[in-house]
Amino acid sequence: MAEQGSDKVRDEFLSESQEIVEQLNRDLLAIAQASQTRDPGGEGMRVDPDLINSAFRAVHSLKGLAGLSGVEQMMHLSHHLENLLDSLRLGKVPLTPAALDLLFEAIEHYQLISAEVAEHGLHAANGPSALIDDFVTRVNEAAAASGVLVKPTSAQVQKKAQAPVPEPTYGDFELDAGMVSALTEYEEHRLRENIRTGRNLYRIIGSFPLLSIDVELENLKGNLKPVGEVIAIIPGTGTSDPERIDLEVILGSSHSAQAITGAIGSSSARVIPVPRQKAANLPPSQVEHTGQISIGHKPSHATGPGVHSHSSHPHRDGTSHPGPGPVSASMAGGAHPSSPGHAPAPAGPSGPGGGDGDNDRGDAAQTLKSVSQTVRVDIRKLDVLMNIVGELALTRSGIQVVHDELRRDRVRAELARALQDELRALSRKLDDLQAGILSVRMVPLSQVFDKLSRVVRRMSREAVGKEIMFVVSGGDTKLDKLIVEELSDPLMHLIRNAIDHGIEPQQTRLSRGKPAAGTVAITAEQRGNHVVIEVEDDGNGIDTQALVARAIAKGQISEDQARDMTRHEMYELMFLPGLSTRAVADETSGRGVGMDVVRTNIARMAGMIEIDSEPGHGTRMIITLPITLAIIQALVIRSAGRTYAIPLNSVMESLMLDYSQIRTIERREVITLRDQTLPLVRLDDIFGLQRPVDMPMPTRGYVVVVALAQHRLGLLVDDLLGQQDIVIKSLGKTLQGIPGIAGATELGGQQTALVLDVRAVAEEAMPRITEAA
Amino acid sequence: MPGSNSMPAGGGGHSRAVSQELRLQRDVLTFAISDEEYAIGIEHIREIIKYRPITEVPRVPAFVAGIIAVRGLVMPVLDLRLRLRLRAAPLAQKARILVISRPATQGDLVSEEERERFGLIVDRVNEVVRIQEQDIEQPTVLSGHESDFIEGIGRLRKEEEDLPRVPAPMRMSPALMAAEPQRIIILLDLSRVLSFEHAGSGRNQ
Amino acid sequence: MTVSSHRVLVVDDSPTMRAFVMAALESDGFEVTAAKSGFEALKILPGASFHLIVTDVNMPDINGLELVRFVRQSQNHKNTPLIIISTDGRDKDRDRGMHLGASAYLVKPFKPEALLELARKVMAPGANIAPMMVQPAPKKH
Repeated sequence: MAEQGSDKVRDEFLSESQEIVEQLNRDLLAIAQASQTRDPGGEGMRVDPDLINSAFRAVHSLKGLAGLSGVEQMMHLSHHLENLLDSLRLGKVPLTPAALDLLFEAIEHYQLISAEVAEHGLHAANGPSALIDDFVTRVNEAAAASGVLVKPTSAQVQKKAQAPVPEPTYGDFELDAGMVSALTEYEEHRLRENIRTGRNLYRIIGSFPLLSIDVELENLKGNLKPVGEVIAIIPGTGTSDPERIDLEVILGSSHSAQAITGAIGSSSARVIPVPRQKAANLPPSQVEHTGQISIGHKPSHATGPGVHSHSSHPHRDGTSHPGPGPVSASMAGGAHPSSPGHAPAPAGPSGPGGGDGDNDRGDAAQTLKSVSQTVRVDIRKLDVLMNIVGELALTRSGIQVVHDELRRDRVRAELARALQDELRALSRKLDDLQAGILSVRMVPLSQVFDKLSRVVRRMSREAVGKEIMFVVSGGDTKLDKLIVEELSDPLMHLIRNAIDHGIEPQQTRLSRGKPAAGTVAITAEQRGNHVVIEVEDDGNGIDTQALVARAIAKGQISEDQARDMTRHEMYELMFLPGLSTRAVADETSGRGVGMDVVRTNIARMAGMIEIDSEPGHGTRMIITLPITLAIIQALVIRSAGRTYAIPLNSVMESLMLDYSQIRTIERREVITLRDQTLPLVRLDDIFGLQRPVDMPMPTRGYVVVVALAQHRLGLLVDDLLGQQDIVIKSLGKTLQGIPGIAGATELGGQQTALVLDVRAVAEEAMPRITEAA
Repeated sequence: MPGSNSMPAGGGGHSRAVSQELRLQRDVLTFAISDEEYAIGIEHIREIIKYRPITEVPRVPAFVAGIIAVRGLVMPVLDLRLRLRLRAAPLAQKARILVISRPATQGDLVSEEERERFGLIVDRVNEVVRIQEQDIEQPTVLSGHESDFIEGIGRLRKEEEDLPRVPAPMRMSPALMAAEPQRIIILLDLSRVLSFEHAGSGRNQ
Repeated sequence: MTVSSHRVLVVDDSPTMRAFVMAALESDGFEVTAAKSGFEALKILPGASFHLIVTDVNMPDINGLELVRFVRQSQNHKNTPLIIISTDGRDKDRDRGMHLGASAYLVKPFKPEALLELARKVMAPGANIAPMMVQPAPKKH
């Protein structure tokens, strides 16, 4: 059907664009972080050029993707963003906080467009959009900040195309013209930047086997990153060996050739410094058609070019330059040589700390790179694999049964032992396999934390009079991918609450003796079978009086009830629908989504949310979530003709019972177990099940002892069918949440049994018991 | 997704387009429950399986017969007879379970594959027929049926070949038309059939 | 001139672009080999023989310009028609590509027909395969 075809195209567009936007987001966050630590204030921020280039490439890819898929708004948006990013990476426009904010805003526009496409198809985001047009205008304003965006007319293009490219000079370095001519504009810019900041140039020449060239080159690049910047990679052409290829890497570095040789370690590549000319007198800079300037030296300085081998940093204020005078400034509209001692604001990103700056960037870039070495997997395929693993576990159990039979036969005992060994090995491998698949589904929470960081940035700027510090930790904690995705809405809501209602305005905070900036912290931690996520703020705390008053006003509780409430019960009021401590849900507070929905969403993931608060000090929201259910051991029992599975880790012990041993104390059935009274509960009673009419009442059965906090309880069942490995499966969206039932499982032979939620069953039974006690 | 609730201001967004296309006919699977013929659009049908033992689940309405597992996937099974509030009866000999997926709602981002599956117990599965949109009428008050669950009443005309050979003009006479045997098919509104609450529902959407 | 069973190498780091160009060329009967990066192209070129090469300019690591230069200096492809795909506004890179020996250029976004027309043009007998090459341009056949 044509519908299906276009759905497929749309889905592919959505998945590819989402991946690229996520990458862009990561790049922007890294840029933001780098800029914070390095250059607070000031016009331009110094950032790893690779990051900006990566952002540029991401937008470039989005433009291409949008163009092919026919999503006009995204094309339009990307086209202009690309211009801005290109100017940023070429150093034509300084990277200011305002520019960075624009870039972050772009991500939201991308998300909006994707949402439109997801709902209404690829052509939903065509035609004009006032919102995007407005944004694009601001983007162009930013790009035009240094008057750069002048597109040549077609006449100029013709003329340029016919004239040979003039040979630019590069300081006093002797660079092969042929090599330089194969550099793109961007690479050339990086080359000049390296020269401008006083680095040396090196050629690293090696011969690589064709088959493994990509791997070896990645290694080489990885080794080089801490010691310098890889400007370009040029394939050699004179190779005679068809199995190998020569490559030349142009590197800009402040380190010595020995250091670089050391860095690349065992690679057979040679490190050759690019020679410099001895003569100090060089012709003044040549101007290229776009008005870019290449560097020349003013010959007047006593300290010659030799000083450059060691890091002499061009200072921003332009005073004390031990080295070259004019600093390259890429501007359009004509040459503009700057006089010595007057350095225009460095437009390009470059670190004054040559050595360690490189290292920081190196590490950061390296971790970013390895993040992108992933494979996109359809999560449904993982479900299939999990099913197969589950079934393998059942088969294993079946084989165990055969083994048990064999063992009884004395003749076959030997064989049985051998079989048992194999079974053990199989079990271990099954566990490994299962763990492996589970780990594929697990993704780090940082996926959602990154998104939240963006939102918080925006919100904290919009919150007038408030200053917010956002702290994130535990982003590498992992959860099932689906759970992580479901978390973003509830967490967003909690953070909005914290910023809007929790953190007080600066004045108020100061008058209370608190630091001016409020802290909103989100932390994640794995504790056993669960992951605990906390959203904490050091603000107002929950105003219980207002909460209670509102609840009374809305008729949800009575005044009497309010009087008897504990503080915790008052906090629980927040989860009643419609209760918000502000009369009007303002723009940033979410659109009428309440805490009740948050709780529902979290419950849907089989999680819990609790509140803790201290008036005047702050509030903490604690979310507990299970990691995906795995293969567990269970006790299979039968009661009133129905089969159930009880997770073994809930079971303390099980024993056989003659019903004559049951005594009744105040209408409750109990037995005595090791001198203690153990209350009994029948599953049929709990679930309201009818015993089939043809089934006689048993006179004996079994008791499965379970514990709830300090209480013990015995579940009375007809039969114990044995112990086995099971995979708990959800009952599905509609039926999940039935109290007392954790899920279902297949017990071989097409039999499906319910898995008990022992805790819930015990909780239900308890009141009856403690009532009587 | 954060953006889905907020339409860009100032006319940039598009009014919610009607997602249904103009349909002139529908393909439906017909099946029988207690001498009446019902139908569900085939786009919702995932597969048809033989009746198999159903695991009972406590604390659910009577029409939820329980759960089954199909190739590892656990799904609820509804006894359609009870759901449609028809008279209870023993299990039919040719009973089958229709495995269906929950129909999409407006603004649903979930694909067909991922939608929740259900089983429906029916007495007998008939066939797939194509019914013209014009032959579907809105339901009126019908006895014995929960009209809430009915999307429409379809009338299937017999194939041309089945008609006795009469000259064309005569075939059109109202008398003849009235004499034609028609097949009446009750089209079920699957979304309604699958909407219900139970003890654990408070925690669901 | 029939273009059936002519082999073409497509080099582009964007999977969508690759798919697009491949589809366009295959629809006209070309046998397409695709490379995800300059590296892959380097691996593929020596052992094969193509009638046409189509490459993106802006790629990481080994960019399209370097590829053009490499191709024009290689043994088996120095006379092969070569189309570079450049981005709107990236004039300098495009010019460089032409000076290094590309046969023609296409600016993104473009329609499949434009690509096919250009392919036919540069593969026509007697066509100048490197019209703007700074060194003396080799003529085809």
